[in-house]
Amino acid sequence: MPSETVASRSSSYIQESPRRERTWGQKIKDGIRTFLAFMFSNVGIICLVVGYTIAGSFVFMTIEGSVHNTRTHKVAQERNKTAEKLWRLTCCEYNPLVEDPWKSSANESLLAFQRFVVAAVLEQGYEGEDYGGNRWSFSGSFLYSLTVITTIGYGNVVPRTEWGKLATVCYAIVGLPLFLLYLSNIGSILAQTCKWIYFKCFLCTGCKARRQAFMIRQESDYEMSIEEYLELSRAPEFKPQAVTVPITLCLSIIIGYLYGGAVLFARWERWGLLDGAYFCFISLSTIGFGDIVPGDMIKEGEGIELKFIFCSMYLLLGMALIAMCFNLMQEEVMHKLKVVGEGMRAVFRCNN
Amino acid sequence: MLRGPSPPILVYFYPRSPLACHVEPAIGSIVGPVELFSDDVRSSFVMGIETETLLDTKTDRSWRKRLTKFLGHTGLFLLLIAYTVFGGLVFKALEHPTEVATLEEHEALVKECRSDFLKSISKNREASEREFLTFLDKQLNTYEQAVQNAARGGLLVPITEGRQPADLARWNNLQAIFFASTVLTTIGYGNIVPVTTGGRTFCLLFALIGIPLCVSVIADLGSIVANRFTGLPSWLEKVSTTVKSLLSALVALLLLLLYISVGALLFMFLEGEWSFFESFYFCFITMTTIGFGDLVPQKPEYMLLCTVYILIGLGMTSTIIEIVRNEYAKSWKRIQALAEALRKLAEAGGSATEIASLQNEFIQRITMTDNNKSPKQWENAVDTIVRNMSKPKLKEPKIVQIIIYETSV
Repeated sequence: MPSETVASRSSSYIQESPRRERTWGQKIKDGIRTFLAFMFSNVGIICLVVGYTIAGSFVFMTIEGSVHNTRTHKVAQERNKTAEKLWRLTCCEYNPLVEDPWKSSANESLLAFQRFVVAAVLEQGYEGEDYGGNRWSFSGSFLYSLTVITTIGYGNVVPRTEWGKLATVCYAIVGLPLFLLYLSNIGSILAQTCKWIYFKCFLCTGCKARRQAFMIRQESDYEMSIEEYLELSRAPEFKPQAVTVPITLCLSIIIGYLYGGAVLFARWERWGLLDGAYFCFISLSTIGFGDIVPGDMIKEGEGIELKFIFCSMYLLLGMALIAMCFNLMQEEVMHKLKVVGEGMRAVFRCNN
Repeated sequence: MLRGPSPPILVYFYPRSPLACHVEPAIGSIVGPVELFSDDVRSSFVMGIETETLLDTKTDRSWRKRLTKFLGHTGLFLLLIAYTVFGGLVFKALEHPTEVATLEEHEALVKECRSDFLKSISKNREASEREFLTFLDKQLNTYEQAVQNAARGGLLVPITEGRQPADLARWNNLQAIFFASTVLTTIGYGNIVPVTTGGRTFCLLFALIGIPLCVSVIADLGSIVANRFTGLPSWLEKVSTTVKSLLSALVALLLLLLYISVGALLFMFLEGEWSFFESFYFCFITMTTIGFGDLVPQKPEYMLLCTVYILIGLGMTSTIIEIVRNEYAKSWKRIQALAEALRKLAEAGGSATEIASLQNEFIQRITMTDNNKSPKQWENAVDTIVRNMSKPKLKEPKIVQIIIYETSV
């Protein structure tokens, strides 16, 4: 039997080459080699993307983090100033018994304060003091870096300093193609895996019966001809080219992933289900409005860091999944069109 | 390796039409885009022009071909514009009433807060200074909160300036169309967003259908851009392909920066208040479709110009980013091949003969690269290495790989 001969050959091969005792140095060397090989495999690119994001988050944390405090401080200062001014108006400058001049000047100072707050909100991204946490914490910056290289760009956290903006531009120039590389690599691997699973689950209906027949024949002393043997023992081959996954399956994978995300986020963030689905879709399609963002409504100390990280993982995996589905869907569409095109060509050839 | 007349830069153009595909080459080799069908068949598919073109006699074929090609380009573009306008109008119809209502609510709230504040001050006049100040501080805080919410809701001007909330509403026709275009290009500034359930649901459906359409238009534009890239001056023919492709990636990147700079000057001029750096930053964030939305053009008069600039720019950017990605992918594959050799070394650990041979091979490779031979020789060496390593893979059928995702940038 061929399989037996292969097995015996390989076992004898192993016996022929006795394992040398390896020193620690060699073991470490081998370990490093294996590690390097691993890093440059497709798992490596995931590590590379995550590592790049982490590096980016440290950079943005140092550049932008310091600005936050001064901003809050300025608004508080302005508030104190206004309060003092009002006090002076009330106690000293006007006769408390005549109301009109007091009212108009108080109104004026209030309006000035209002303008200041509006400017702070719009231009500097002031968010009030009750958002106690710094947006540029580690996990916040991590999510920011990820939204830059994935081109989601929520915009709820944006760099306010010139250096932060410059860093964002440079970071994006290097990071965008890197992320695309991640998408195309992981997408095609996932597509292959998906095809294989689909093939095993749905297309291999005859496999089991055939294997059973093969086993029965083997156990009884029935003499098989070589052709028969080959016919029965050969499992149907998996050809990536020949297998196409139907579009409906791809769509249901996407919808399932969206729905799962929607349920999870709805539970965690106390959003409605539609809001959750809307957030997931807007994020995964890289539109990224930023009107609904995880961690917006939560005060600090409720596991907000964990949520940011989870959100990042959801996005990374989800975009790879969508790339996979596009991969598969295009293949299917192309396959169909090819068939149609060939048919049409044949028809017209006949006519001519 | 395909050499000679084949274009040195390789651009993947998948979404242009589902019929043009790219055959994923064996490691280390370069294969141009492969088209399954001739142009006329494709454009007849794209345009929905019936199959007459196929039956044409040879006489005016080239003329017709050009026409259908042209119609294919513009027809898709027009379809996209019509779709965008339609979507914008629906968004406006869905969102406008709600926005006006919220604006009125905000306005009333701020006014109420202010009058409350003034009243409570006049009530509390007898209090001591310290008490009064803390009281004021508290009151001001609530007032600030109301103003802040109003500002975020779109109430920008001080209320006393006497403009009606309906005039302030951000969902006017032009803005809504602009919003629809930011959805389709996946920029998504987020300065205006749908808030009603109806608006959000419509947004989902609108994007689901529209994004693929927009992607195909962008890829179409990108192919026009990329066709210009393929021809290189003749004096570059002698340089090795590696250097050539690196060079072209660099040139592409420079071109992108140039395009963005031109756009930045344009926006600086039109917007008036932006500095050059600010408008450069805006153009970059837009062209890469990141779209933070902290800087958004404010004057609705030239929204359409802005949209056209974005569309053309996106075609360019996606092509260029794809070129750079391609460079990454190539070097990635080289590194992977080397890593494979390393892994083999590590696995072979025990058997002395094998490790010796592998090590020999490896050293040979390393010295090849170190020896400062001519670039051509070096490249050939790398090629052979890569080919040897990928031998088992060569037996597999080539994988037809199309990634529509490119244009998600």
